[in-house]
Amino acid sequence: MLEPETLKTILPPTVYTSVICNLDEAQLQEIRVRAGMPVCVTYRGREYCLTRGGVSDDPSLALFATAEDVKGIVVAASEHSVYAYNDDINRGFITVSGGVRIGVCGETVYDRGSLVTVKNYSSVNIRIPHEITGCSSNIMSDIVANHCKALIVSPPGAGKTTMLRDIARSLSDDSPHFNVLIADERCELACVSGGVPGMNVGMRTDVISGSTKAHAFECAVRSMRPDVIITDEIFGQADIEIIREAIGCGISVIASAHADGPETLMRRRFIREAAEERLFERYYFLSGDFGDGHIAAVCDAGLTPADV
Amino acid sequence: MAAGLLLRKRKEYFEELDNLLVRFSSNLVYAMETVPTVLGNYKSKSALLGRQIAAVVGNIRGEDNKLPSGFLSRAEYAFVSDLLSSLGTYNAVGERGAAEAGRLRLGDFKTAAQTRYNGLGKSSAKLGFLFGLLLAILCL
Repeated sequence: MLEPETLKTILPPTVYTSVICNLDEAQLQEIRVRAGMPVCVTYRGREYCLTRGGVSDDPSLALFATAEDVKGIVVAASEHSVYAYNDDINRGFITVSGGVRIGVCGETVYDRGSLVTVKNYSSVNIRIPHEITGCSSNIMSDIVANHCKALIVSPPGAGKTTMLRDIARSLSDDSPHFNVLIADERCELACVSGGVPGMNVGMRTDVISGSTKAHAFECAVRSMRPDVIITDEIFGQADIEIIREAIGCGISVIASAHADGPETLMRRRFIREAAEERLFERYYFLSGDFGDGHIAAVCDAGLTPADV
Repeated sequence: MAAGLLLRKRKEYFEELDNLLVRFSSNLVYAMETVPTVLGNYKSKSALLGRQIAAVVGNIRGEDNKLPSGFLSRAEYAFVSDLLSSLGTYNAVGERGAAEAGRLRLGDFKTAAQTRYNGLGKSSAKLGFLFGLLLAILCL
């Protein structure tokens, strides 16, 4: 979980002091630091400007960040070793201990069509993850009964990643104790830093971080013998093909996708094809109102409403 | 003799600092270990450099240490301070360039320290030894 020391080493002193003295860390989702702009926070589900005394809707009261502040955050997050985190920065984020993920924006430098580095950092988004242990408890028996082939669906920010994380933990630690592999392409599920997961994803869970889904699935099938692979945000036909291959090898897959309901989901061709092939036995739709994994609807393999 | 010892310590310090930069540059090509790891693993023969490395590593971890200056001149201290505190603030290509530039500048200080030691330091050490030998003979 997040240690106060993590924020202290990353944030400019005035920002850190305001956050620690005025805000409840358990209610803090994001800290956005942009060069030449007010510092903003997402706190209790809403965006505010960060002031010396807390939060406000008035930008004139806000703490302002400089380009040096933004660079300082990137340098500090990379353990004062930007060169060692160049690949992470090129991917757009650095993950630090406690599962804190820092998105980085700046000027990209290309050489012969390949991204070489990012320079002149302009903004960072410090995302603070929160575990909600047990948020999947209402659907776990249904997931297991349906062979752990499920798709978690919601609009952005409704808790898909939080739900997947808890599903991994529960499949691993609760009976019947599955071997789980997390294909953590953007290091958001397990938040591994220095080889150690920052989130509780279960004692029988292996994590492949920062890799493409194709590579992670291939490693899983060839050498890790998982019972279930969990991955976040499937996007297109290529992802469905990878999942199809894994299921064909006898491995169940639980994934997530963006949509705000069954109708919107079915507009995506790769989902229609997946539904026709019954790749997923269950679709769990999260409500966008709560952001904590509230289940709004459950559908069966044919995307018709199901009783849970 | 004390002067000779000081000059030898200065020579040793700049040699060790150069070795550290060589080690760091090599790390940029192969292991890509972080700055705290590279500095923490470096065992310096120079006590002053060892204390400075400890201060830098502490600062990276959030402490607020001032780099000890020891026997360094103001110009030397400014250079070393800037060099050690800016480690790790560039990507790999920029870091290699910065390390090379640092070694070039360091070469001037290192050469000056070596020259002073060769000129005065060795002689002082020999004189000190002879003085000690004379004292021993007189006591006998």
